[in-house]
Amino acid sequence: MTKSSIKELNVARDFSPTPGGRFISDGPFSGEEFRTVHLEPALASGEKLRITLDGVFGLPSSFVDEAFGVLARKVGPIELMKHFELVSERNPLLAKEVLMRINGQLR
Amino acid sequence: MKRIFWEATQRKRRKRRIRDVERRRKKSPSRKRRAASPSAGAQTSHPPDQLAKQQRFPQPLMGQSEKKLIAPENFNICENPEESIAFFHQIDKALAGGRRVFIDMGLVTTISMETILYLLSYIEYIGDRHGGERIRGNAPETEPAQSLFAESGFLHYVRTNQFVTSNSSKLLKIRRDLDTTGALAREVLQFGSEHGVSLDQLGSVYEVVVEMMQNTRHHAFPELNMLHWYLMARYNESEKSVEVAFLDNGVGISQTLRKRVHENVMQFVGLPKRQHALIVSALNGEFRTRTGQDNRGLGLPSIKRCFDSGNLQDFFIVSDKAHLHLSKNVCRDMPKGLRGTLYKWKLRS
Repeated sequence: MTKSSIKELNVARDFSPTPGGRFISDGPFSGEEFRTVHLEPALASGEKLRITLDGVFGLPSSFVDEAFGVLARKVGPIELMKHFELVSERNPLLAKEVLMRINGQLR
Repeated sequence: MKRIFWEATQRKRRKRRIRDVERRRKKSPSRKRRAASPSAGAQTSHPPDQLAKQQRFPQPLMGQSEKKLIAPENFNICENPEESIAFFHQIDKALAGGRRVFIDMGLVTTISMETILYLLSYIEYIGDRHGGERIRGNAPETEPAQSLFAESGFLHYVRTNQFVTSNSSKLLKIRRDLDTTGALAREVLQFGSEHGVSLDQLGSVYEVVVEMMQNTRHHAFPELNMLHWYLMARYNESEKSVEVAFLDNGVGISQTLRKRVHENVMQFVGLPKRQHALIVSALNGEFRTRTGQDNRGLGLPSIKRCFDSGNLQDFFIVSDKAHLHLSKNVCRDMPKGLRGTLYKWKLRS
């Protein structure tokens, strides 16, 4: 896949540096909002998304589960990771935690 | 030292009074209009000038049906839970008897942040349930307790004769909401950063605070009648640490957990519930969420992971009768319970 076909998504810049809770009803910048606005359209259109996690103040477990975990349970983690690339240069643990949540290894 | 008095605001009664005034006004428009109630809403009262405030509270008036209760000298829910929580049960008992209560904190020498939060949440809970001014009191008269109480932001939520306008850089004043707001978690981070807390610790704090807000929203109030969460932080100069306290006035963690068969049997035959054991089980990630969904119940384990990583020191969880001091691995049930759930921890700078 060529570099030009990869869409860039910087969570802090394009969504919020302060991710919130699980559902839209919980408050602003929820995992559900992130999934429905950014992830599901990318998945539906078949495009690859490079998601940069640097710059966020933190990634609460509930947010990550609702954003990524729901999709992973829907399409499977392997299929999901064909479409998403996680980048976290300043704090590699962030990307690792999201991956573990996608693979269902974190509780 | 100035004596500070405060009085819980009347939310329900004020609305009724305004309705009555409007009704009378409509019936006889020629009557002289009386001034509307002095303050709007339960959140704040800002009488026009200091003199008017002082005249309203010249002395604490001990009405015939008012009971004066003296707060413990060490008014600290985490460090002195039995005495501090028992004091709130005394207030419950007096209120149940139909009396008003005057909380005398004049002899308090030490008051902690979480106790101030709980006092505010308790007053608002009583106001929501019973509607009306049932509680008033004074502030501690010795330092540093009086300064902490006055500058905490507590007085913003009640009627008082003393307004504190100074913004101490060592305090993140009381915040109160129901939504899960990352922006507020960021405020806590920024406060920590300003006082020298490392970035590693702060990353954990963001997740912990957001998960606590989530737990309040999803689990603390199963009924529709929801209250709020409360948060406060302060910089402790002598210990070189930032202390953070978070509280909700809900039903308590153990009430929101799914119990196993033998635990239900124990409850049914009247054996003590061992609430602290239930909470430890949930913290350890055992499947306890009452939602029954595999992907839920993540909040408490994530809080425990942050603690295990060494980023949170001196971590307390007090919920209903359970008192957990995770840093010292001391977990027990108390004779009397708190209404809700309280977390408190320190961050070394």
